[in-house]
Amino acid sequence: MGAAVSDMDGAPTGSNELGPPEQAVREFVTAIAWGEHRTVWRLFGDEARSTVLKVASKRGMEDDLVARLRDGTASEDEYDEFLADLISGLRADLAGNDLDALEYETDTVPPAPDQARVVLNVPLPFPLEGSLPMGSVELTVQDGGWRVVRLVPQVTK
Amino acid sequence: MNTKGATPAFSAETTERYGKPFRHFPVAVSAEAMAQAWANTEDGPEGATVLVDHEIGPRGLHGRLWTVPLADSLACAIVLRPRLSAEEGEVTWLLCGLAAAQAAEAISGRAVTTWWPDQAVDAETHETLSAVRAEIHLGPGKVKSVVATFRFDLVKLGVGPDGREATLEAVMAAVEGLSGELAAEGPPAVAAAYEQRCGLLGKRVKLTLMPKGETRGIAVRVSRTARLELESPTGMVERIGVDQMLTLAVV
Repeated sequence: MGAAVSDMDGAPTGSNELGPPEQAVREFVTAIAWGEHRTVWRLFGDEARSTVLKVASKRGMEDDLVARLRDGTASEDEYDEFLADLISGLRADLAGNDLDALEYETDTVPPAPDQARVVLNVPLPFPLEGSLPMGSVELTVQDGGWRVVRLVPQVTK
Repeated sequence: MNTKGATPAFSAETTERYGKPFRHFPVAVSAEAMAQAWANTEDGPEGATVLVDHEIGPRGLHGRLWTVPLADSLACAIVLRPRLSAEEGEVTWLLCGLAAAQAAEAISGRAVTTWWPDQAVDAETHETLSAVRAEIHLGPGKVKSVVATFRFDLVKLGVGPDGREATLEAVMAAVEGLSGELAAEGPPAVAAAYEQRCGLLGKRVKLTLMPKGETRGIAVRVSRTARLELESPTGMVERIGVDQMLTLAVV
């Protein structure tokens, strides 16, 4: 118990070079699809982690555990259980879409400096042409790499 | 008694075949339906076997249709009465898969593996040789009966329609042996034997789930409750129940 999961607080995958935002989102979606729970957490920025922990707290998670997860002092088992739930939630947001066929398109005008928004498009089935947006991922620059701020699934308005 | 000399399509006398009570129907909705009726309304005993030549609705897990031509298929169902708790009932899926693989291997002489949760496949080509289904009926806290249904593709087994009787004998023998093993050693032994023969383990798989969603990972284990355990590259383990699985693909 109490062993810090150090790799969860490290830099994003690969070098610290700032690659294209869509590459970071592709890695994020792939990690969700394959259940790479620690990769997902590593790609989350501070804001996203804070939001997820707030939601967990509202849903009844003990404050001590929330604090341990925030500080990186939770045990491996605690992280695994928490992140498995997180993956389930993210998969629910992406459910119904062929994740292998997604197309990633970065907004030409960023929402703010050091931020980006990548739209997730699903190709339409034959004989239709083109694609439809199924959601978007907002990113920010943190520790020299792109980190996820939030996943916004497209829902019926 | 049939006074006209022909066997009525929807009734059959109980005879004995390979030491077990046996009913043979030329036509029926399915072997499973006839065995269930026998088990539930006539208290069909352990090992009671139904053979149907022409199934009208040959459906397996989640209603999946058996598409092999009837003339090239063997369809049979066997009543089991294992002494299992309600929580352990799902292990009978593994028993069915294992019995199908053993029978297919004995008949074809080829290596046959189990393919979680409901198939036995050629170990090299991964062609489906058999599909199984375990219909589990629960009593208070325990399994009351299980109807184990088997369908074999006799052409792919390499025996053709003439091999129907030998295949029936092989599957009945396999079920009897495994039922004895289950009674003597319990679900872990059956799960271990299934796992040892499972061709899916070690492969990267993608599953679509009921009622929705999908998951992926490396198939690493099959538990005693018949759950397939998937491990992600970062070590996350997911346990997928038989009823959750809609489709499975190796990727």
